[in-house]
Amino acid sequence: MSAEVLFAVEGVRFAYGTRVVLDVPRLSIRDGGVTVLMGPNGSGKTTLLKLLNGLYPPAAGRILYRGLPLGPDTMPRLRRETVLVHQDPYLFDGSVFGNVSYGLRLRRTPSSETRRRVAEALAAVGLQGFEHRRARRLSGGERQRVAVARALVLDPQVLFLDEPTASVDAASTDLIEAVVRRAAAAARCVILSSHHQGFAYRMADRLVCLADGRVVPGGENILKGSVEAADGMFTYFRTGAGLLRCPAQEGEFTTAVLPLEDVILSKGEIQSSAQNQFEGTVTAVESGDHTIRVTLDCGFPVRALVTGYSRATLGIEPGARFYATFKASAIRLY
Amino acid sequence: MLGALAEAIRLLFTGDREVYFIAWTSLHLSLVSVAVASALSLPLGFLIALKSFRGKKQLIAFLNALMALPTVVVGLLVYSFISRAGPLGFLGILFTPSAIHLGQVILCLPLITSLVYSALSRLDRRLPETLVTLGARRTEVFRMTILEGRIAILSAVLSGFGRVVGEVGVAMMLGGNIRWYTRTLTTAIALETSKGEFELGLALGIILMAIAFAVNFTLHGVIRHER
Repeated sequence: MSAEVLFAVEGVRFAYGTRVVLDVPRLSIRDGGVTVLMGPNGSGKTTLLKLLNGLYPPAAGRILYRGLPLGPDTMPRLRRETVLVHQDPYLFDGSVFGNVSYGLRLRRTPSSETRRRVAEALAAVGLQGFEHRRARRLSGGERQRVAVARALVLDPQVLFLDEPTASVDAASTDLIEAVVRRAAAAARCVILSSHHQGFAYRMADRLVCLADGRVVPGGENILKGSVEAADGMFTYFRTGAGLLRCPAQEGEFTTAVLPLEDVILSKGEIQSSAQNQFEGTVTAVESGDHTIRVTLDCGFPVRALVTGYSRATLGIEPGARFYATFKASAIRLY
Repeated sequence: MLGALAEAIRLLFTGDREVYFIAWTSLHLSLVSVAVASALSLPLGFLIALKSFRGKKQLIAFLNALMALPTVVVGLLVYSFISRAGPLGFLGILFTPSAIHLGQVILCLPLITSLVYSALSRLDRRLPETLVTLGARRTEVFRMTILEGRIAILSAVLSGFGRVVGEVGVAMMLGGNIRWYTRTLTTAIALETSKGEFELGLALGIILMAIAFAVNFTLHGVIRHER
């Protein structure tokens, strides 16, 4: 995965009239993988997506795309390389083919290639043979998938999805998840918004949490990996060099979520009922409003919240060795 | 009434050349005027609907007020401009079809613009965003917006047609009701009725209605077929 910064947001504000709906002093979104904007309704997710896609101009500040500020000179490139799928998307009056092929027609793609690519895009969202159906007569989930196909057919570098699973059935959610995974695997960048935690955790390589129009620190460790074993007592989840003991449960999980406040830091091993204890080196110490966030490298990154008092008395500084302890029951698997 | 209907049918089917000419004059004057007005109204309505600018509300209120413009007032105003002594008198278009076109365009321009604006402002806000994110430039956004709003826009255009095809003020004052030249169905009806030829006037009225219905049905049919 490339570490190049895809979007940099600098001092961006956006308001509807006098009501400021987004205020982001600084935010970087790295290229590749899946970035999920998570937050409740009205937290500014959609506005941020539309600002990044150049559909809204920021009232203040600037947005850089691949290092260049968005403006008349860079907009054509942004248009070529990115596409956004709305929540509850607008489908044009006419056939599914007419909808999906629209962007290709704008790009003057030859008709034989257009037919092939439309068929491929429809197959990717499980709508093979839907070309001649009337788009507006499809079900909500099918309409959403047509809109995703209409974006996918352009093979964008960056795919923006606004609440892609908000109003679709379980089957459509699975298909959209598969599409997002394939796009990310094909070195594309997917930036999506969701207020659905399970979906957000499963999909996210990186999580950006929004609340009241501001980016807020995420309160959870999002650990990617897979289930290695299960013995009836615990489910063992492998993430990096760590094997986490989680509550026994069946399923194919790819993400373990561990709240920061459930992680205890100690200088030595502690005897307790907590089933997970890992030793690691402090790699980062960041001061927040009232607490301090500590990142430990235990063969996988673990973040914890401590007070200034704990930091001072325990000497929590970068390079120091500490133990991270947390209960199996504190972990949620997705 | 039945007599008038019989007279209308007789006039149509006995091939009265003058009636055909008058009907054709009415039809083509109205169609050309509406086409010209629409060509101006569509981009105007589009801009008013999609752009925010100072004085937008006032402009919309003004256009709405102009929708009720009396035809005789328009006729009078244009007359004062294109009569020999008027500032545009040098054009020499008074009592020609061009004068009628000018008056009719002024008559239906605010109506069509206002209705197009109203139709487009009711279109889904996601449409322009969807078009732009898929790569559409400004002219393509305009084309697709018109296409997606075509039913409502057609209604606006037909309202404009209805306004001009049935008006007398402009056609009479600017066209002069000249036989074999600028006589339209409405000016002919006014003339025949004032002469006491009530049945003939009514028959011409029936032909006028038939033309209006035919144009409406044809255009609606075309749009339905496209969908």
